[in-house]
Amino acid sequence: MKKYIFCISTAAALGLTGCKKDFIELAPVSQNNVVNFYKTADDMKIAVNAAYGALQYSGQYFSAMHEIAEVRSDNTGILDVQTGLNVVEIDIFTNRSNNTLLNNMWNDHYRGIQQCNIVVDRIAAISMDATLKDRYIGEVKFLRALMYFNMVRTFGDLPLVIKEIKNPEEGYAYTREPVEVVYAQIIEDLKEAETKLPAIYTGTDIGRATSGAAKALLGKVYLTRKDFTQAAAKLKELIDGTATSKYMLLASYEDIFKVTNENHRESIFEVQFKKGGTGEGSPFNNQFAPRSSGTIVSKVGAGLGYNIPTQDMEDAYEAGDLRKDISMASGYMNGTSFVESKYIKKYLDVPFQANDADNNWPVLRYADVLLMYAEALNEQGYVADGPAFGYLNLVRQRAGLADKTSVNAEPSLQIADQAAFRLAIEQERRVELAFENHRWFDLVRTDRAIAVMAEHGITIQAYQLLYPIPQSQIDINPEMIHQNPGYQ
Amino acid sequence: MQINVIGRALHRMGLPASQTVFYMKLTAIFLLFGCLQLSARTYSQISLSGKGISLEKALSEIGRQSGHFFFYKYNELRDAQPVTLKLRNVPLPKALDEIFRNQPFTYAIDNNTIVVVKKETGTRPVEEAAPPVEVIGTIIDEKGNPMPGATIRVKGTTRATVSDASGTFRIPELPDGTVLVISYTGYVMQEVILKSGKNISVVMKEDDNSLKSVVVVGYGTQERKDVTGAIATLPAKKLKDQPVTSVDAALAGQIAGVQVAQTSGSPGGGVTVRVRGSGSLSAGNEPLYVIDGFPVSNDYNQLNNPLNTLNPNDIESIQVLKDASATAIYGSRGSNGVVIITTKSGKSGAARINLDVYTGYQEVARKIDLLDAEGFANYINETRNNAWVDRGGLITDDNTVRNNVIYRLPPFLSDPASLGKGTDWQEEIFQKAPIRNYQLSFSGGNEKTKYYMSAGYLDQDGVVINGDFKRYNFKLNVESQLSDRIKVGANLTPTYTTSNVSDAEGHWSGGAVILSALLMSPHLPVYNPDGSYTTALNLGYGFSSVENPVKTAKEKVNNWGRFRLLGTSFAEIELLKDLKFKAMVGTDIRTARQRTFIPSIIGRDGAPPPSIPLGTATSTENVNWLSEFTLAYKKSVGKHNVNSVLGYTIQKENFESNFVSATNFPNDLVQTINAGIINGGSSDRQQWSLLSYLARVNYSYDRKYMLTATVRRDGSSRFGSDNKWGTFPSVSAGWRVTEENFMMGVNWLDDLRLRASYGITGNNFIGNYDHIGLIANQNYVLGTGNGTIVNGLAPGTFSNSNLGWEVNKQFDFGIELGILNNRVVFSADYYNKVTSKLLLNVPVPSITGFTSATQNIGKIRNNGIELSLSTKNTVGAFRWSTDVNVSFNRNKVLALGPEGSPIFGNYQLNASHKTEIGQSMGNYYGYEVIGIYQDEDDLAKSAKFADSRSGHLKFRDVNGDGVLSTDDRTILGSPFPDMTYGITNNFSYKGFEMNILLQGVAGYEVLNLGRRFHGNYAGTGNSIAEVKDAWRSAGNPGNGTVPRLNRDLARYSSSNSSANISSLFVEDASFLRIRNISLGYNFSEKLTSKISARSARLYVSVQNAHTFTNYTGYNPEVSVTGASTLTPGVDYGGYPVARTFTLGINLGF
Repeated sequence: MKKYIFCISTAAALGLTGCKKDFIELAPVSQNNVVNFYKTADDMKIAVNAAYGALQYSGQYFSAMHEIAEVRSDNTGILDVQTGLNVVEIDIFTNRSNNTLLNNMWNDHYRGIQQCNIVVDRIAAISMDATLKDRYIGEVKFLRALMYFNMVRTFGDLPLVIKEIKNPEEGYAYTREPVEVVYAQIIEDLKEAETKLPAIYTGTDIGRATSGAAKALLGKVYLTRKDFTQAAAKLKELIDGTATSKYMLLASYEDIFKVTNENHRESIFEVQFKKGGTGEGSPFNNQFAPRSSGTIVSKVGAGLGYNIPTQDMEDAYEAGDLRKDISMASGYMNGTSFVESKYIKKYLDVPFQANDADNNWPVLRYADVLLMYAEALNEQGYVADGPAFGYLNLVRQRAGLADKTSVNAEPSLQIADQAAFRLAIEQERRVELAFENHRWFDLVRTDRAIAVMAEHGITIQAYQLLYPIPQSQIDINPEMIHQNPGYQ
Repeated sequence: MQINVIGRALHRMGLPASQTVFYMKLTAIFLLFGCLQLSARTYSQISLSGKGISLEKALSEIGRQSGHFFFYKYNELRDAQPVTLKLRNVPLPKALDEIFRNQPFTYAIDNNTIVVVKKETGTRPVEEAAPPVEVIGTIIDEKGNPMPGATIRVKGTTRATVSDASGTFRIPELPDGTVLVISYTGYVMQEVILKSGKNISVVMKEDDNSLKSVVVVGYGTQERKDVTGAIATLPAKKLKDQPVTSVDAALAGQIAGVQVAQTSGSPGGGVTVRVRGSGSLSAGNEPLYVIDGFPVSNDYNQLNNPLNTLNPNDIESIQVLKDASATAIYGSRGSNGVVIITTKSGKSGAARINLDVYTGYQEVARKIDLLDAEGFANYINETRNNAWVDRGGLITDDNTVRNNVIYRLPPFLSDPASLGKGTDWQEEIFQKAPIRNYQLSFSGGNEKTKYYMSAGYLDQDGVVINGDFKRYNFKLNVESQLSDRIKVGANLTPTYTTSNVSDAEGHWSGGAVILSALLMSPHLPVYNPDGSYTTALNLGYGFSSVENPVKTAKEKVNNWGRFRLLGTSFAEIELLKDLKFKAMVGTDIRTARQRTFIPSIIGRDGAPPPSIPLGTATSTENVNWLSEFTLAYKKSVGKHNVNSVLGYTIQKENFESNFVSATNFPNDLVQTINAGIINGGSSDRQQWSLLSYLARVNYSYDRKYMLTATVRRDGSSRFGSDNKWGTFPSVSAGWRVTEENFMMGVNWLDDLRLRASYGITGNNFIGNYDHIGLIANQNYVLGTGNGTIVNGLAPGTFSNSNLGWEVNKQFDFGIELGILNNRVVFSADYYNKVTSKLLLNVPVPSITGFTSATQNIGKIRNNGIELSLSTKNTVGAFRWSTDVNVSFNRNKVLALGPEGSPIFGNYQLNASHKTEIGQSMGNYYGYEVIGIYQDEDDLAKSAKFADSRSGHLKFRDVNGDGVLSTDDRTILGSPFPDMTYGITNNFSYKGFEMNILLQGVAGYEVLNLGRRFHGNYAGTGNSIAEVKDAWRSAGNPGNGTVPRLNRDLARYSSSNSSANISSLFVEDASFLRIRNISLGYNFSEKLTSKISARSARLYVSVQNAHTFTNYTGYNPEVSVTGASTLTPGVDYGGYPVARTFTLGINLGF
């Protein structure tokens, strides 16, 4: 009896004393947490990398961007398939405010912006190499500016969040700021990034944002704001360049999109992808290959038939334009028979598995800069066969096309006045930068969207130049977030 | 002579000196009870009340109160008659006189000992007057064991006798038609009519309503009559004959306030249990399950119900703790109610062997009325033509003119009449599925050691082809009284289950079989002439890309194997008289592995096969251990009775999982990961821990006034650093009105009890690390060439150091009534439970970088009434009893989120559900259809969308602004029933038994969202047959509910039935289901003895024989979202619940 009591009381005593308070203090084993992270320079590097990773979100360059910038325009469309209903609505302008693509776009951009804000806020307290600290700040400010720029062009007025939100309540305090305020912030961020970022990277840092990327984006922002003087000045800096960081057009248009040739001299900023089953691959091959083509076009994984070039697009290429067959195809061979089904060819790396290829997404490249510069010059004043003609023709020459001039026997090659030059730029941008998420924003920026879409056969209203704010955001915070006109 | 000693009380006088040291150590504990630690010996006044209590018990009580030993001959005392007493402070001798009045015993007091002896004369007074011919009868229990000590009375006289050790009795010959009344404490009283020359045999049935029955409460037991909390008990016999694979499914319709919904018919899966409504939005609403004292983790899963590892045949009883008084002892896990499952244990006596076998089949009870091939072709052509005409085309235009696939007429449907009926895809995916179950159990033991062992095998196929569930279970339960003071026991339940899970529920695009079958074109056969499968993935012409559901069901592999070992062992030691210490350790080990393979012949991502095969392998391991130390103290002093427990428990769970996936398998032959190229993998490890102190005191005075107080203090790893510990108190009181003197004359009323309780419990069913902001991998690619992957980490969740449990405050008032010898037992409860500090994964403005965050915000109230009534309508040879239970629960959200903004649930479509203040949770949300725009005039004068046209659905302009917009969405229905009820009727006559269980739920709706495909009026695939009655023109408006058929969904995006939820999808799902009918026959002893069996029983049963409902889907209880509270009640190709026919036999040896 004595023995039993002893045993049990010992067991009980052990039970009571063996369990200290830390028995219930359990931290995650398989995941990092905010308590132990964001402490060192290395942590900050990893946090900056993650902010780049945000560009790969489905609500950013993975899919939303080409849906809102290409499918929306006259460049591409989508055949009606049940699973693509949200995209179809974007295509034919019947989208409602609860369109899931817009919801994804909104959520994924602000998620990325928050990651940039965290770095900006937390890096101050960390003792580390000052140059590196500046560079990290520059990188995330560039990324933040890029994300806001895409958002402001899509939705108009935006809640402007530029600091880390530490608890959910803070999120209810933001209302939509006028586009002017948003653009002011974008410009401020880019100006800072421009000074803090290096012109080039080497080795393992290649692919990070450079001062050139900041300048190019800033030029684009000025152009969008119709501030042609500043735009021209900023873009000129890129054209002048420096010996080490001189951008140039690649000799072959095809080389721009080769996965063996990423981050080339024409490239200013790309969203980087890498295949191999690690979740870092790009989906564009499968997304854009014809739906009924099986693996004939995509090679691995079925084609899904999104972002299909329109007849208008195919017709936009001048005869002899070398870019056409590199950019798109009008069909594919199934055995010995030709199946008519247009698709984009710019991103056709053979995937490791479905939606897992190497193709990067070109965000900014030198040809875009040249055309923007030419446009800015023309807007400052038409000069017959002036420098603007030179930059335009530089792009055309690579495409194997004849120069356009102020007086030309061939009417299609003649640009007689400022208005004609505008249209020439519009046309050149359309084919040079086809399927690179420029078209819709270019049309809106140049006030041409309504007219061009009408030609394309879709009548749209002025309010449709902006997309509706996702209904979910209004439902959550109806006091502060209001819908764009026309969508109520 | 065998001498039994009752009144072990005085044993403690001989306490060894060494124990006093330990005694000292326990002083602190005793201080708690100090005021009650009175010397019993100062009392010589006896108080004792009770009806029909056994003599043994009465003597024991007197011994306890007076401090005397009783000596008696055990076998003789069995002849004693039950006594009914009302003693209040009477001297000992008077009390004894009262007790031994009319007994065949007398007594003598010798110092501290009372010797009980048989009366020398008149021990069997009735025998003496007996005529030479006697009636001989035997009395046995349901298991065929003789019942000594049963009282046999001749109705209308005072003549009586008791049965002897072999259960037999003798009684003088009496005239035919004389009625004998047989009674035995704890058993239903029976009346037998004498027939001349016939000996009688009476089978006594246990009485579930007996107030003597013991109720298992957390960390102890209580007699039912002392219970002051709301606790429902379900004995094993109420579960029998139901071929259910898990015990929770068998609870359906049986207990007031407990709603059990079979949300999926998938073998082995899909049961949700709600005790008194749903009090939580995101922290789970499943009750806590405690199996043999072990609170188990029961992660709800639509496809796998963790309770299916327990063989329902091994269950002895189930108690459902409903109110806070009962559940507060489980603290931060108690607020959803607690289900205590007690498994079978051995009983002393001869060894028993039981064999239970049943076999049967299951079938789908109803099908959805779809178009046949001819109707389908007409429908498809109409949708294309209408779409084209709306674009300005002519119906006569041929396909070359029609400029989009959705306007073109499929050439294969050009001659509808030639297609005939085509393929009925529902018929193809459903089957009559066999179910078989075998169980063999052994039990037995002696006074000291008892054992129970069982082995079982269940094999169930699904009603959807190629799904199954098999269970191999074992059980071993041993208990031994090592010495007078020490009892030890162990309980081991290893179970292995294996299942092939059909990918049945959910969106067809992922291959889900049911929606695919509903959408699949009926003009296609299942197989091509060459034997290969057909597919609709590449039909074109605006059809949804659906894969052949027969192919998916047969060829896709999703195989699970699960092992669970639940083991506990305990030692209980009587430290001192009335004070027991119990230590229990237990472990719940669960391992699972899953293997999936999608072969190349199944098309994926909308592309026809061949596709690239995909395989995955997953393994998980949960190891949960528990140590529990309790001190129990039970003491009766005079009229004061104390029953208390003090405890300390510690529990921890470790979870680990590994996952690997592979692709690019060279062929479909080898399906394990090694054959492919590995393309992904992950592993995860998580833990939680819980540290608790608990205490409970039950106090009753004079068996009239009862008071229970409990408190538990829990520290949990799941909560924020600023909120680690919580305290959960409760108090309840009861009053047995019938024990009052003023009720003495009320003979028809056997029992009237009133009880009330109030308490606080918690809910901690949330993620293990929700309070810590987690950082998730978000890598990127940088560097030369194709780049190198660089590590990136980004926040995944918000931190919240204040995160705590949901606080649930519940008030309960109950009344229990027993009348007419407890033939009618009624109970009613009113409760009001308010959950505050609701753990909410609140959608937050996504500008925060997160779309949601878990916080303690919000308040929900559930209040309601529960009524249950049990009646014994007839007794005697033909016995009929009825149990009815009805519950009404009202659910209301009182506060939500930081701003009170509504929460929208998104299932497949955005804002499919809305939870807002003032309403119940998870209401369906969308447009209310008020008709169809009949013509241009109607369109002109009605509120509309910009893209509305004649023939489109007309919605109610909720905000009255003259136009339709998203602001006109409104609440369309609620998944919460107004009323749930169950009715059980039991009949028995001679060897026959019949049981009919009806289960009903009234006043709720289901969101039949699968209709956005097979009921979208756009011809994306096959359709419900009612499209034949579509609106065609003002002059031909159809049946008034089906709008114009039009494939061009995107051109009326505001009001089409594919992307918008409307009241068309919300259906009244009230139902009354004949849940179970069983008919059994117990073979007579004469027959069973021929096969040397102790008992034999044959039965047939039908489960879900019929469901009366207006719901158009397969199962009105459906919820493909399972336990979700923000998106409940959705039918998206839900797995039908089967109608099951079984034939079974029980043999006892």
